[in-house]
Amino acid sequence: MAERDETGLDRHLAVLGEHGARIGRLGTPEQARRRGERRRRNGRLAAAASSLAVVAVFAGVYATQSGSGAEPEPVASAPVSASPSPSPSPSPSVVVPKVDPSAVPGDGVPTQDLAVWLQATRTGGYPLLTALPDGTLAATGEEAATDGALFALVPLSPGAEQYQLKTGKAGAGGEQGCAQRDGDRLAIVACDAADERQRVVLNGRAAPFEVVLGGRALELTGSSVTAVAPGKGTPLTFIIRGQADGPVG
Amino acid sequence: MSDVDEFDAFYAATSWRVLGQLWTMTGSRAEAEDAVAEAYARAWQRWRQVRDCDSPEAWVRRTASRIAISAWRKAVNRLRAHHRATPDQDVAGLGPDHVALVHALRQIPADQRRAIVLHHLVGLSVAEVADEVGAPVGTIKARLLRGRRALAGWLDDLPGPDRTETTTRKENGNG
Repeated sequence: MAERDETGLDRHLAVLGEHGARIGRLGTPEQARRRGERRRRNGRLAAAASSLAVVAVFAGVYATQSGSGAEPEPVASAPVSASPSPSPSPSPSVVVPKVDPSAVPGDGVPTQDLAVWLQATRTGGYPLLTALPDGTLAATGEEAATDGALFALVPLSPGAEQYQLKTGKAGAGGEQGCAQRDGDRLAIVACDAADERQRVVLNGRAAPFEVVLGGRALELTGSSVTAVAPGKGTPLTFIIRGQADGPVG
Repeated sequence: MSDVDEFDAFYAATSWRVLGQLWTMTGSRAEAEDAVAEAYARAWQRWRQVRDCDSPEAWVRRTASRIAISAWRKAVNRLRAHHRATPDQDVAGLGPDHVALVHALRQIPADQRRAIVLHHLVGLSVAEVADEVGAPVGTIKARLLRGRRALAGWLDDLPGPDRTETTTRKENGNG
């Protein structure tokens, strides 16, 4: 009876799953480990307390049965602080670099099959690069991110350090577009690997990278993206958001 | 690779996927985030056992599901109020068809929703769902049947799926 996907439920639930992953926020792995360490400590304390309680019960029974009549010593207990001291809250003017557990591990460069966000993890509001319905590039916040914010970084040839930045999801026509800088205009157009204006270079040894498109670096501020001189762009981190539509490359 | 590196890599590779599955299962972003965060903390607490089990990701998902279910049992009224307060935020960015599916999922019982998500989203077989949930295969079949029937009205309104599309989630390591 459990015939799979006879109604398309698999596919529609996959959309929901991807959406849930996109809107949800988790802490860093370090935070998960700290929480796990606290659970270990608390577990040990609880075990020790249980042992003490058992010993105390047996001691009480023994004392009662032996009829010593001695006044029991009060057992002093000190509260155990299990919660860590709160970290100082940052000044509103200071941007705390965001550490996302879904950031591409290792050198931070995604493989071409991954759909990724390009996020400014050191900029206030942590804006993302996104393609708007009219085909222009802009910046948006995480809460408003749509499939337009999904991209795939595709090397021009295997192992190359020059790339094209393709849309992570195919458009209505089934084709993926590529980011292109044409003067000051940043837009998604039909892919052309030979077009220098679509050439992407990552400046930096590891994430976050300055992303250079068509010879100019991308600068993300609030809701806009502009092309600036290399060295003055916004450091961007690739955040894994699923699989890119194929074929890529 | 040290335990820390191994755990961090596991967290980076799986946490977003488990979070999406839990969100679909619970219908609440806050509940899903809490349950998943707690499940990964428990995974680190006993990491050497978890990493050696058949599927650490399945372990985390199962633990997170139990935490979420436990939370439902403890605070059903609070959760209902929470659902009423947050759905618009949670579904922002989804199309109207998928918003309708989210609402439809919220209407069916939690055990049916869990079976539906494990079978149709995670990609587990009926036997695997039964194993993960700890219920007989016949019970899972009944939950799937009732769950799909309950969703049928909504599904009838959806555009049909692309029948040529190949489902690859199982191959992508969904525990």
